[in-house]
Amino acid sequence: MAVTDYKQGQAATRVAAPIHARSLWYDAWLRLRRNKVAVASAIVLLLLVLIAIVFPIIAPDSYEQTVTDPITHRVIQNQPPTWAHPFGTDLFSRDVLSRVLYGTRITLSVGLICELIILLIGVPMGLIAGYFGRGIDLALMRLTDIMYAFPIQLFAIVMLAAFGSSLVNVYLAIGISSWPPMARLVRSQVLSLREKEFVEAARSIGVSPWRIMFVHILPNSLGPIIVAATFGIPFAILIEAFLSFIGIGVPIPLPSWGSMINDGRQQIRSEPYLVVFPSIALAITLFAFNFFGDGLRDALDPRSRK
Amino acid sequence: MTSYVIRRLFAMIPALLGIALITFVLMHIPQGGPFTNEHSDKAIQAALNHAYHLDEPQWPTFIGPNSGVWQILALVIGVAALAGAFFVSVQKVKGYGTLRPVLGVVGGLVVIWSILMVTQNPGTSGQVGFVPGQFLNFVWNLSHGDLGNSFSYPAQTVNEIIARSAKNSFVLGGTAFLILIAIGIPLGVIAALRQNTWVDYLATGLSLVGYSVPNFVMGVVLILATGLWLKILPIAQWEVFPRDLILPAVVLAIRPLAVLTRLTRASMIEVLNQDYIRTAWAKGLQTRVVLTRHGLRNALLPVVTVMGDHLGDLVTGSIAVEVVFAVPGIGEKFVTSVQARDYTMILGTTIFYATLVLFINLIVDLLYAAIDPRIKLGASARS
Repeated sequence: MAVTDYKQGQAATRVAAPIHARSLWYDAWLRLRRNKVAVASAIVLLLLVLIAIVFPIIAPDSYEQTVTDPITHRVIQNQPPTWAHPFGTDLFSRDVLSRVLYGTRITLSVGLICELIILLIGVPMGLIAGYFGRGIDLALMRLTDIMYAFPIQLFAIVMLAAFGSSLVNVYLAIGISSWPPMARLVRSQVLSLREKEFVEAARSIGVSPWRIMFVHILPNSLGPIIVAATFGIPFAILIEAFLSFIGIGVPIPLPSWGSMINDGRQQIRSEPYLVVFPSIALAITLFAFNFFGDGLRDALDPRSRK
Repeated sequence: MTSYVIRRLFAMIPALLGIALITFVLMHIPQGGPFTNEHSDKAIQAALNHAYHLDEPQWPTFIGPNSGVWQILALVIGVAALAGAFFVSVQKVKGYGTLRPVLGVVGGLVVIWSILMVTQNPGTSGQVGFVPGQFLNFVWNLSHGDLGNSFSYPAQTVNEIIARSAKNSFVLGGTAFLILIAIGIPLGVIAALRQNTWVDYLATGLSLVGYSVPNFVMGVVLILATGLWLKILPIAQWEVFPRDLILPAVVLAIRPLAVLTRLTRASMIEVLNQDYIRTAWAKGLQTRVVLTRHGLRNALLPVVTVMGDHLGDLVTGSIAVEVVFAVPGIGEKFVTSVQARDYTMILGTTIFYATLVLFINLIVDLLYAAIDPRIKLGASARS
């Protein structure tokens, strides 16, 4: 009898096996994969990442080299697009295509590093404020309120004016000025999760507050954080382009799309192609990030779908 | 309502003070005075520094024979307040819930102040006794609406520079706001009514374009299209109105417009599926009444709350737009001052902009209260 029981049990599990539980993340992945726009923008983003990694290795100084004519050995200044230089050359006889391609690395690095700084400040801030509550919450949230009231563009300008323009300072200025929304988001997540049973259970068996915060609460609020971070990247890129456009962001001769647009603007009557190509590159990058963020939000939070 | 407005105005003070403090500290980090490059003569530099009060200490302090006594006294008071905060929380003195943060904050600030007093450069202004210093003077002037003198335009105050260019900026911002409301809401409503048709796809697609592309890129491309290829508008002029106003205002409005269209569409779709809308149709009300009075009024509530965060774009976005279209406004002056490292001008304009954004947020909040009949302001004594 016992043996047959055992066999029946086996059979039962074998029947049940095909309906294996999908994890939340696998479910989201399936939804994301079905979204054509999101997949297309993910491919564009991968291409951009590839350019950003590979191009500076192939041609490390191409962005500041002067281009000369192979026969006459004269510098080619302000030349409209040709086969040799498909995006033309600029006032300082540099190949615009090389500068646009190299600019991918700068733009993507700004987006990713700034978002990393935002996460590193905003997530612990929100976790601590939300979990401990009371005085700590009050103090941290007053600080967040003040920073939230400070428009990001202005704060970044003031920081760069104070510390001088360099790539590292651009990362820091944008990262340090944009964390308050992230802190608020994490705090609101913590406030709703803090009273859940699994947190209470963890607390009752004596898990330390830090472990509860980072091991029990944080993984359960990852969805909204990932979505916010994905939208934060294009915003950081936008701010960087703006800062470089008004001449206080990434310093010359590094090719930032924002400063290239500003340089080209001075010669817009005679050499319009100088603004066109960096503008297109910037628009494509921002599009891809925003579309991908949209898809990711729909995948991670099906309720928000219209 | 009045008491609510007053309360909200007072609540803005800590945020403004915080912004002023951060900006002030950052603008005093660069080494070397603003005049070190212009004049090599030490006497002229000293005279200029004196004229701009740059020879005073930055933080309030005591200078003179008895200064040490006062400085130590401040330190003792600060430490005592911190100890008091610790004492009331350990002993659970009655009312420690309010006493502890007050004592803690006061004690912390006084201790920081006394450390600053000792470590800062006392300056060479020759004042004796209690010296308010640059920061207190700055805040005091700020409370009178005085933003100080410009470094790179001698004999001009920041107020004068802002006042001279304010008209152009406000005309630009106001027009952009009108465009925003006049296009954003109807477009969102139409997209919601014609859901999943080409109108809807066009509206949502355009709003994604408007949201993704930075306004200065849009501005440059539109200048290229209208000025160079179509030759219908002159390039970046600010002379004939409304011809020269249209393009910059549209470009400035685009980002908040994209957000507004998206929000209105989503909110309207949700509202139109509600039971009371079906009831309104069933009662035989006119389409106009159902859509505006029952539909739009309810749909706009969540829109207004979110738009508060995006209307500030009209202020900060104007910086780049004014540069692109050569509008002689505050933003253009601001960028010039940033490039010239004119620190007082940067400081003053930043605080002016931040105040403007805070006031816009306040107005949006009040508007929200005005259109939501469920909110009764001023009756919050219960909370």
